[in-house]
Amino acid sequence: MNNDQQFKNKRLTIGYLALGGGVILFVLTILLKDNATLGNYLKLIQGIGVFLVFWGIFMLFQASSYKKNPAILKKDMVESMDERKVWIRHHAGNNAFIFSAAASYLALLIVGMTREPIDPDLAWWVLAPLVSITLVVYIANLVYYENKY
Amino acid sequence: MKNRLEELRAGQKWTQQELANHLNVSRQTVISLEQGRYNPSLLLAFRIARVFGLKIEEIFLDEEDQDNE
Repeated sequence: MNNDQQFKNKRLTIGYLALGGGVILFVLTILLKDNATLGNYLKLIQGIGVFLVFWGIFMLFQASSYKKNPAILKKDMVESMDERKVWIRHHAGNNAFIFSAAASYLALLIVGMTREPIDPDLAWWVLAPLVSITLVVYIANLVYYENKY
Repeated sequence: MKNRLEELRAGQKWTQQELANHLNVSRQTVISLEQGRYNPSLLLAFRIARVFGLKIEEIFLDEEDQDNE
């Protein structure tokens, strides 16, 4: 099997797995909708399911476009292995990880120092931006390194 | 690190995209290499040398070496 076929097959496999997993999660949340112990977690699981479905469809769509236009396949293959891009992704990921670790440590430190129990709503409003900001840090680093190198 | 990539590419009458195709890298990488913003790995440097039929040191110029001369 040549590299082109391997690259295309990898996309197809990821696409089918994501689509299948997403549908299973989505159906599961519908079946368990009356389960009181899961409560709000169901919405979260449903959200992940929807995300996986869309991601899977995107991957499958990409794989089918490779069949119609091999030039896109070649471009995507080069982009995925391009050493400068790989280097940029690694550095951006590393910086995002350092930010995430430092921010989580800071949050833990604050929680450790508070005498009163933390309100779950407050905890959610602190933790949710922490996740989103980590993603923003990653993207900002990608843009920064793309311009610098 | 300075390099003669742009000059050598012009000599071959290749576009940046054509050189990128020869090297199996993206066009942005060729642009960054030509502008001296990105230093290639040893592997890519060898590939570049092979494409132009030259030695690595004939393409990439060590600025420290130049200062010492």
